[in-house]
Amino acid sequence: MARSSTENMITLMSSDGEEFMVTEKVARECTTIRNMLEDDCVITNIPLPNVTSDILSMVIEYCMEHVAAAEKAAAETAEKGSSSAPAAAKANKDLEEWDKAFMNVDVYTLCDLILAANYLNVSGLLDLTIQTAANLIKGKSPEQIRKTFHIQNDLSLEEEEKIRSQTPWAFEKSE
Amino acid sequence: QQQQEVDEDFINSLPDDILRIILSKLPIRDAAVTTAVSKRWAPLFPTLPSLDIHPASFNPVNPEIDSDNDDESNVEDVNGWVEALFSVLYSRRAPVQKFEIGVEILDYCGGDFYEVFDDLCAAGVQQLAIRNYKYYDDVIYEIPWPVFSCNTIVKLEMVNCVLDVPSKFTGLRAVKSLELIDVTVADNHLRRLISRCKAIEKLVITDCKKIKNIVIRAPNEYSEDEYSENEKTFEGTNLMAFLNGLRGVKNLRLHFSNVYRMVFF
Repeated sequence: MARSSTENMITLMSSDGEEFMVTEKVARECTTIRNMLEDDCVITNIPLPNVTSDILSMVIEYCMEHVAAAEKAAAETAEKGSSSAPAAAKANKDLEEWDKAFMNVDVYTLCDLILAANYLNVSGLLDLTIQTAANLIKGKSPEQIRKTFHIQNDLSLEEEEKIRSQTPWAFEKSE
Repeated sequence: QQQQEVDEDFINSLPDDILRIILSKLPIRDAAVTTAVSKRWAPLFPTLPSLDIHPASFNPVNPEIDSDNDDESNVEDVNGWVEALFSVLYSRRAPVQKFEIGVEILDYCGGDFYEVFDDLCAAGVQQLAIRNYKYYDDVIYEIPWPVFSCNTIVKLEMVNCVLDVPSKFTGLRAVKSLELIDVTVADNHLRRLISRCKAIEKLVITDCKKIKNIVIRAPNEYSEDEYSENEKTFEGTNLMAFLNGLRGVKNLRLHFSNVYRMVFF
């Protein structure tokens, strides 16, 4: 992380005591941290007891990528006086590709990222992780969903039968 | 051993609200399937705050077809369709806050829908979209009157329906956003509707039929007003009166057809 003399640096501390130094701009991508900074502008050290270092480093990676993309777009707009539509479309596409690659994680990490994005209030990351989780459910049977997310089936046969009979159309497959 | 337990439990560590947001991103059928996953998941679908119903919602799963490319207008089982919708509504354990339905309404149910909207309105629905996709024959879906006496709706959208606003109509006090698209409504009924939606902030009228003369006396400041009209039924002589009625408007967009523009500008 390049340190710029004009930018404030903030130290974020994970639940397991690891420290991450980020620019204020990157930290502000997390609405929760932005609110803390607005309440108390001299704060430079923020403990995050709900986020482990593995997950925090991923959240920071996401925020840095999205801040960099926004800065690049703003710089191009300033340079040319107006943004060129094809360049902006390509930049968006690149960022989408980056997001897609970033979501190539196991379901444990995905759930931790959802919790962290929710706690830190990073709306872009929350939308991305929630959509990814939804895509993992789409088109699957209850058994397949349990397998994907390692969920124990605690329903008795009778209970499951009763649930299935409430919305039978949902469990039918066409020939 | 401990790691194993943590692993088993990890998605259950997500709060119900987040699981509901995940389910609300799914087509209704996929969301309904999750009721049979576990005890924790069973109550999530019946308490989803929003339901978006379209014709393919209740079709059986066809593994051959990628559901993203599923033809949403194709209904495989016309008779089972209404039954399926009722099964969803009967299994509800919390009020529906947002209900969108886009179907060829008259084809399936006619009068049955009266009950659906009556229940939704009584339970405090906040966002309601009624989109009738049946564009043939002469019969157009008539909005049932419980909708007009509902005081909880904030956002109301109606597409291809007949509006017959009761003269004793007192509801829709909470409506901030009103969109009428392809709606058949008489002048006095539209005037009655709009003048009594006292909280309205956004009004969209697009391609409405039967309207000849629109006078809008804005009861509140409109933050946005989008207006578009079908040249066949609109008599533009009322333009001055129309604009005079919009004294509080901050942002007005007028969309007119070319025929109309030739007459006036």
